[in-house]
Amino acid sequence: MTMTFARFQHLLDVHGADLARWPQPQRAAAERLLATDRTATSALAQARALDALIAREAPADATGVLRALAARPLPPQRRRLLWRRWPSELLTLDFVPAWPRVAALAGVAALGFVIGLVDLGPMTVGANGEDPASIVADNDIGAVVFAPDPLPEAHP
Amino acid sequence: MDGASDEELMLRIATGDEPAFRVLARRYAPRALRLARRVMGSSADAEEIVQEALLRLWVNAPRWRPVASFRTWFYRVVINLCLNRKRRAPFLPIEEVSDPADPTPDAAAGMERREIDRALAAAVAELPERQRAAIALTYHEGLSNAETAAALGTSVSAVETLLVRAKRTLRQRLGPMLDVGSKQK
Repeated sequence: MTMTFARFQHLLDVHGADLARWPQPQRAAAERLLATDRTATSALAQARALDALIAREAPADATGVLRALAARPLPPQRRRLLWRRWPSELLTLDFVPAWPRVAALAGVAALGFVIGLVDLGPMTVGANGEDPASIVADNDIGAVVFAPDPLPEAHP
Repeated sequence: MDGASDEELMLRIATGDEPAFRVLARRYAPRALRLARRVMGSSADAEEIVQEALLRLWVNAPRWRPVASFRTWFYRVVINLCLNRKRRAPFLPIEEVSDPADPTPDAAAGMERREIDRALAAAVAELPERQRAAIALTYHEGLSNAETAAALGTSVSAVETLLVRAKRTLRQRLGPMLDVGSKQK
Protein backbone atom coordinates (compact mmCIF):
# COMPACT_ATOMS: atom_id res chain seq x y z
CA MET A 1 0.00 0.00 0.00
CA THR A 2 1.46 3.36 -1.02
CA MET A 3 0.74 6.55 0.87
CA THR A 4 0.39 10.03 -0.57
CA PHE A 5 1.88 13.01 1.21
CA ALA A 6 -1.59 14.47 1.84
CA ARG A 7 -2.65 11.25 3.53
CA PHE A 8 0.55 11.24 5.57
CA GLN A 9 -0.07 14.80 6.75
CA HIS A 10 -3.66 13.92 7.67
CA LEU A 11 -2.51 10.94 9.73
CA LEU A 12 0.14 13.08 11.43
CA ASP A 13 -2.65 15.37 12.60
CA VAL A 14 -4.92 12.51 13.65
CA HIS A 15 -2.41 10.28 15.47
CA GLY A 16 0.45 12.66 16.27
CA ALA A 17 4.11 12.55 15.31
CA ASP A 18 4.93 9.45 17.33
CA LEU A 19 4.67 6.76 14.67
CA ALA A 20 4.63 4.05 17.33
CA ARG A 21 1.06 5.16 18.14
CA TRP A 22 -0.14 4.74 14.56
CA PRO A 23 -2.08 1.71 13.39
CA GLN A 24 0.35 -0.85 11.99
CA PRO A 25 -0.62 -0.79 8.25
CA GLN A 26 -0.46 3.01 8.09
CA ARG A 27 2.81 3.05 10.01
CA ALA A 28 4.48 0.69 7.55
CA ALA A 29 3.27 2.76 4.59
CA ALA A 30 4.42 5.97 6.31
CA GLU A 31 7.88 4.55 6.92
CA ARG A 32 8.17 3.65 3.25
CA LEU A 33 7.15 7.19 2.30
CA LEU A 34 9.61 8.71 4.78
CA ALA A 35 12.45 6.69 3.25
CA THR A 36 11.95 8.36 -0.13
CA ASP A 37 10.18 11.69 0.37
CA ARG A 38 12.08 14.61 1.91
CA THR A 39 8.87 16.66 2.21
CA ALA A 40 7.41 13.94 4.39
CA THR A 41 10.53 13.95 6.57
CA SER A 42 10.23 17.70 6.98
CA ALA A 43 6.51 17.42 7.83
CA LEU A 44 7.31 14.81 10.46
CA ALA A 45 9.91 17.11 12.06
CA GLN A 46 7.43 19.97 12.08
CA ALA A 47 4.74 17.74 13.59
CA ARG A 48 7.16 16.65 16.33
CA ALA A 49 7.90 20.28 17.12
CA LEU A 50 4.19 21.08 17.24
CA ASP A 51 3.48 18.10 19.50
CA ALA A 52 6.26 19.15 21.86
CA LEU A 53 4.96 22.69 21.92
CA ILE A 54 1.37 21.70 22.61
CA ALA A 55 2.40 19.24 25.28
CA ARG A 56 4.13 21.96 27.31
CA GLU A 57 2.00 22.48 30.33
CA ALA A 58 2.38 24.33 33.57
CA PRO A 59 1.57 22.06 36.51
CA ALA A 60 -1.93 22.58 37.84
CA ASP A 61 -2.18 23.40 41.52
CA ALA A 62 -5.56 22.26 42.76
CA THR A 63 -4.95 23.12 46.41
CA GLY A 64 -7.45 25.98 46.29
CA VAL A 65 -10.19 23.76 44.86
CA LEU A 66 -9.63 21.03 47.44
CA ARG A 67 -9.52 23.55 50.28
CA ALA A 68 -12.77 25.12 49.12
CA LEU A 69 -14.40 21.68 48.93
CA ALA A 70 -13.19 20.74 52.40
CA ALA A 71 -14.55 23.98 53.87
CA ARG A 72 -18.17 23.29 52.97
CA PRO A 73 -20.47 20.44 53.89
CA LEU A 74 -21.22 18.10 51.02
CA PRO A 75 -24.78 18.30 49.67
CA PRO A 76 -27.10 15.30 50.00
CA GLN A 77 -26.64 12.65 47.35
CA ARG A 78 -29.29 12.16 44.72
CA ARG A 79 -30.74 8.70 44.81
CA ARG A 80 -33.27 7.35 42.38
CA LEU A 81 -36.74 6.56 43.68
CA LEU A 82 -37.48 2.85 43.84
CA TRP A 83 -40.28 3.03 41.27
CA ARG A 84 -37.92 4.70 38.80
CA ARG A 85 -34.97 2.44 39.38
CA TRP A 86 -36.73 -0.94 39.38
CA PRO A 87 -35.83 -1.78 35.76
CA SER A 88 -32.13 -1.32 36.45
CA GLU A 89 -32.44 -3.12 39.78
CA LEU A 90 -33.99 -6.07 37.98
CA LEU A 91 -31.18 -6.04 35.46
CA THR A 92 -28.64 -6.27 38.25
CA LEU A 93 -30.26 -9.40 39.68
CA ASP A 94 -28.46 -12.58 38.74
CA PHE A 95 -31.07 -14.82 37.24
CA VAL A 96 -28.66 -17.10 35.46
CA PRO A 97 -28.46 -19.97 37.98
CA ALA A 98 -32.28 -20.09 38.19
CA TRP A 99 -32.91 -20.45 34.45
CA PRO A 100 -32.25 -24.20 34.18
CA ARG A 101 -34.58 -24.89 37.06
CA VAL A 102 -37.28 -22.64 35.68
CA ALA A 103 -36.93 -24.30 32.28
CA ALA A 104 -37.08 -27.78 33.81
CA LEU A 105 -40.21 -26.90 35.77
CA ALA A 106 -41.89 -25.45 32.69
CA GLY A 107 -40.93 -28.52 30.64
CA VAL A 108 -42.35 -30.91 33.21
CA ALA A 109 -45.55 -28.89 33.41
CA ALA A 110 -45.91 -28.89 29.63
CA LEU A 111 -45.27 -32.64 29.43
CA GLY A 112 -47.86 -33.28 32.12
CA PHE A 113 -50.38 -31.18 30.26
CA VAL A 114 -49.79 -33.05 26.99
CA ILE A 115 -50.01 -36.44 28.70
CA GLY A 116 -53.22 -35.36 30.36
CA LEU A 117 -54.68 -34.45 27.00
CA VAL A 118 -53.70 -37.45 24.87
CA ASP A 119 -53.69 -40.12 27.63
CA LEU A 120 -50.85 -42.41 26.69
CA GLY A 121 -51.99 -45.08 29.19
CA PRO A 122 -52.44 -48.76 28.02
CA MET A 123 -55.60 -49.37 26.04
CA THR A 124 -56.55 -52.78 27.40
CA VAL A 125 -59.82 -54.65 27.56
CA GLY A 126 -61.63 -54.09 30.85
CA ALA A 127 -61.81 -56.76 33.55
CA ASN A 128 -65.45 -57.56 32.60
CA GLY A 129 -64.74 -57.43 28.88
CA GLU A 130 -66.03 -53.89 28.37
CA ASP A 131 -64.97 -51.86 25.42
CA PRO A 132 -61.93 -49.80 26.54
CA ALA A 133 -63.30 -46.82 24.70
CA SER A 134 -66.38 -46.81 26.87
CA ILE A 135 -64.26 -47.02 30.04
CA VAL A 136 -62.16 -44.13 28.86
CA ALA A 137 -65.23 -42.22 27.80
CA ASP A 138 -66.64 -42.63 31.27
CA ASN A 139 -63.46 -41.60 33.10
CA ASP A 140 -61.36 -39.32 30.99
CA ILE A 141 -62.32 -36.04 29.47
CA GLY A 142 -59.47 -36.50 27.01
CA ALA A 143 -61.34 -39.40 25.45
CA VAL A 144 -64.38 -37.21 25.04
CA VAL A 145 -62.34 -34.81 23.06
CA PHE A 146 -60.39 -37.28 20.93
CA ALA A 147 -62.79 -40.27 20.55
CA PRO A 148 -63.95 -40.72 16.93
CA ASP A 149 -67.58 -40.31 17.90
CA PRO A 150 -67.79 -39.57 21.60
CA LEU A 151 -71.47 -38.67 21.75
CA PRO A 152 -73.33 -40.84 19.21
CA GLU A 153 -76.64 -40.34 20.98
CA ALA A 154 -76.42 -36.64 20.32
CA HIS A 155 -76.93 -37.19 16.60
CA PRO A 156 -80.49 -36.95 15.29
CA MET B 1 -7.78 3.44 50.06
CA ASP B 2 -5.33 5.49 48.00
CA GLY B 3 -4.54 2.37 45.97
CA ALA B 4 -8.17 1.67 45.06
CA SER B 5 -9.21 2.08 41.44
CA ASP B 6 -11.41 4.98 40.37
CA GLU B 7 -14.33 2.64 39.86
CA GLU B 8 -13.95 1.05 43.31
CA LEU B 9 -13.89 4.49 44.89
CA MET B 10 -17.02 5.48 42.98
CA LEU B 11 -18.86 2.43 44.28
CA ARG B 12 -17.91 3.47 47.82
CA ILE B 13 -18.89 7.07 47.19
CA ALA B 14 -22.27 5.81 46.00
CA THR B 15 -22.85 4.52 49.52
CA GLY B 16 -22.02 7.94 51.00
CA ASP B 17 -18.36 7.22 51.80
CA GLU B 18 -16.91 10.72 52.20
CA PRO B 19 -13.23 9.73 52.67
CA ALA B 20 -13.42 7.85 49.35
CA PHE B 21 -14.71 11.04 47.76
CA ARG B 22 -11.78 13.02 49.17
CA VAL B 23 -9.33 10.49 47.73
CA LEU B 24 -10.91 10.65 44.28
CA ALA B 25 -11.10 14.45 44.44
CA ARG B 26 -7.39 14.69 45.28
CA ARG B 27 -6.65 12.34 42.40
CA TYR B 28 -8.66 14.18 39.77
CA ALA B 29 -8.73 17.83 40.80
CA PRO B 30 -5.34 18.72 39.23
CA ARG B 31 -6.17 16.95 35.95
CA ALA B 32 -9.62 18.47 35.78
CA LEU B 33 -8.21 21.89 36.57
CA ARG B 34 -5.66 21.58 33.77
CA LEU B 35 -8.35 20.51 31.34
CA ALA B 36 -10.81 23.23 32.35
CA ARG B 37 -8.11 25.87 32.21
CA ARG B 38 -7.23 24.82 28.68
CA VAL B 39 -10.82 24.99 27.54
CA MET B 40 -11.85 28.09 29.48
CA GLY B 41 -8.64 30.08 29.30
CA SER B 42 -9.13 31.38 32.82
CA SER B 43 -7.89 29.94 36.08
CA ALA B 44 -10.70 31.44 38.14
CA ASP B 45 -13.41 29.95 35.91
CA ALA B 46 -11.55 26.65 35.78
CA GLU B 47 -11.42 26.39 39.57
CA GLU B 48 -15.15 27.06 39.87
CA ILE B 49 -15.89 24.47 37.21
CA VAL B 50 -13.76 21.81 38.88
CA GLN B 51 -15.46 22.45 42.22
CA GLU B 52 -18.83 22.13 40.52
CA ALA B 53 -17.76 18.95 38.72
CA LEU B 54 -16.53 17.34 41.93
CA LEU B 55 -19.75 18.23 43.74
CA ARG B 56 -21.74 16.70 40.89
CA LEU B 57 -19.60 13.61 41.18
CA TRP B 58 -20.58 13.33 44.85
CA VAL B 59 -24.26 14.10 44.33
CA ASN B 60 -24.73 11.76 41.37
CA ALA B 61 -22.50 8.91 42.51
CA PRO B 62 -25.47 6.67 43.49
CA ARG B 63 -26.73 6.92 39.89
CA TRP B 64 -23.37 6.19 38.31
CA ARG B 65 -23.06 2.80 36.65
CA PRO B 66 -19.64 1.32 35.87
CA VAL B 67 -20.43 0.77 32.19
CA ALA B 68 -17.69 3.15 31.03
CA SER B 69 -14.42 4.24 32.58
CA PHE B 70 -14.76 6.77 35.37
CA ARG B 71 -12.09 9.00 33.84
CA THR B 72 -13.98 9.41 30.58
CA TRP B 73 -17.24 10.05 32.40
CA PHE B 74 -15.71 12.67 34.69
CA TYR B 75 -13.94 14.47 31.86
CA ARG B 76 -17.25 14.61 30.07
CA VAL B 77 -18.82 16.30 33.10
CA VAL B 78 -15.98 18.84 33.15
CA ILE B 79 -16.17 19.50 29.40
CA ASN B 80 -19.95 19.94 29.51
CA LEU B 81 -19.67 22.41 32.38
CA CYS B 82 -17.02 24.33 30.42
CA LEU B 83 -19.11 24.44 27.26
CA ASN B 84 -22.25 25.46 29.15
CA ARG B 85 -20.44 28.29 30.85
CA LYS B 86 -18.88 29.46 27.62
CA ARG B 87 -22.29 29.68 26.02
CA ARG B 88 -23.24 32.13 28.74
CA ALA B 89 -20.05 34.17 28.84
CA PRO B 90 -17.75 35.29 26.03
CA PHE B 91 -14.32 33.75 25.84
CA LEU B 92 -11.58 35.68 27.58
CA PRO B 93 -8.04 35.20 26.31
CA ILE B 94 -5.83 33.30 28.67
CA GLU B 95 -4.28 35.78 31.04
CA GLU B 96 -2.08 33.49 33.01
CA VAL B 97 -1.64 30.39 30.95
CA SER B 98 1.59 28.56 31.36
CA ASP B 99 3.75 31.16 32.92
CA PRO B 100 5.66 28.84 35.18
CA ALA B 101 8.80 29.79 37.00
CA ASP B 102 11.62 29.30 34.56
CA PRO B 103 14.30 27.01 35.94
CA THR B 104 16.91 28.02 33.32
CA PRO B 105 19.53 30.41 34.63
CA ASP B 106 19.77 32.16 31.29
CA ALA B 107 17.37 35.10 31.41
CA ALA B 108 17.26 35.42 27.62
CA ALA B 109 16.31 31.78 27.27
CA GLY B 110 13.69 32.26 29.93
CA MET B 111 12.19 35.21 28.10
CA GLU B 112 12.15 33.32 24.85
CA ARG B 113 10.45 30.42 26.53
CA ARG B 114 7.79 32.66 28.02
CA GLU B 115 7.30 34.27 24.64
CA ILE B 116 6.70 30.87 23.07
CA ASP B 117 4.27 29.97 25.85
CA ARG B 118 2.32 33.17 25.29
CA ALA B 119 2.22 32.63 21.53
CA LEU B 120 0.99 29.07 22.06
CA ALA B 121 -1.62 30.20 24.56
CA ALA B 122 -2.85 32.88 22.17
CA ALA B 123 -3.00 30.40 19.27
CA VAL B 124 -4.86 27.83 21.36
CA ALA B 125 -7.23 30.53 22.63
CA GLU B 126 -8.31 31.25 19.07
CA LEU B 127 -9.42 27.68 18.47
CA PRO B 128 -13.11 26.83 18.79
CA GLU B 129 -13.79 25.32 22.20
CA ARG B 130 -14.39 21.77 21.02
CA GLN B 131 -11.08 21.79 19.15
CA ARG B 132 -9.40 23.06 22.30
CA ALA B 133 -11.06 20.32 24.31
CA ALA B 134 -9.93 17.65 21.83
CA ILE B 135 -6.35 18.93 21.97
CA ALA B 136 -6.38 19.10 25.77
CA LEU B 137 -7.80 15.60 26.17
CA THR B 138 -5.41 13.93 23.73
CA TYR B 139 -2.23 15.87 24.52
CA HIS B 140 -2.52 16.71 28.19
CA GLU B 141 -4.70 13.96 29.55
CA GLY B 142 -3.29 11.25 27.33
CA LEU B 143 -6.65 9.96 26.11
CA SER B 144 -6.88 7.95 22.91
CA ASN B 145 -9.03 9.31 20.11
CA ALA B 146 -11.76 6.82 21.06
CA GLU B 147 -11.70 7.92 24.72
CA THR B 148 -11.73 11.55 23.65
CA ALA B 149 -14.79 10.82 21.52
CA ALA B 150 -16.53 9.30 24.55
CA ALA B 151 -15.60 12.27 26.73
CA LEU B 152 -16.89 14.73 24.14
CA GLY B 153 -19.98 12.65 23.40
CA THR B 154 -19.16 12.34 19.72
CA SER B 155 -17.71 9.90 17.19
CA VAL B 156 -14.05 9.03 16.63
CA SER B 157 -14.16 10.47 13.11
CA ALA B 158 -15.53 13.75 14.49
CA VAL B 159 -12.64 13.87 16.98
CA GLU B 160 -10.19 13.26 14.14
CA THR B 161 -11.72 16.15 12.24
CA LEU B 162 -11.40 18.39 15.32
CA LEU B 163 -7.74 17.43 15.71
CA VAL B 164 -6.92 17.95 12.03
CA ARG B 165 -8.51 21.39 12.00
CA ALA B 166 -6.95 22.42 15.30
CA LYS B 167 -3.47 21.40 14.23
CA ARG B 168 -3.83 23.04 10.85
CA THR B 169 -4.66 26.31 12.60
CA LEU B 170 -1.86 25.93 15.12
CA ARG B 171 0.64 25.19 12.36
CA GLN B 172 -0.37 28.38 10.59
CA ARG B 173 -0.19 30.48 13.76
CA LEU B 174 3.02 29.00 15.13
CA GLY B 175 4.81 28.30 11.84
CA PRO B 176 8.09 30.17 12.51
CA MET B 177 8.47 28.58 15.95
CA LEU B 178 7.92 25.15 14.52
CA ASP B 179 10.61 25.68 11.92
CA VAL B 180 13.03 26.71 14.67
CA GLY B 181 11.96 23.76 16.78
CA SER B 182 12.32 21.23 13.99
CA LYS B 183 15.72 22.59 12.98
CA GLN B 184 16.92 22.36 16.59
CA LYS B 185 16.02 18.70 16.58
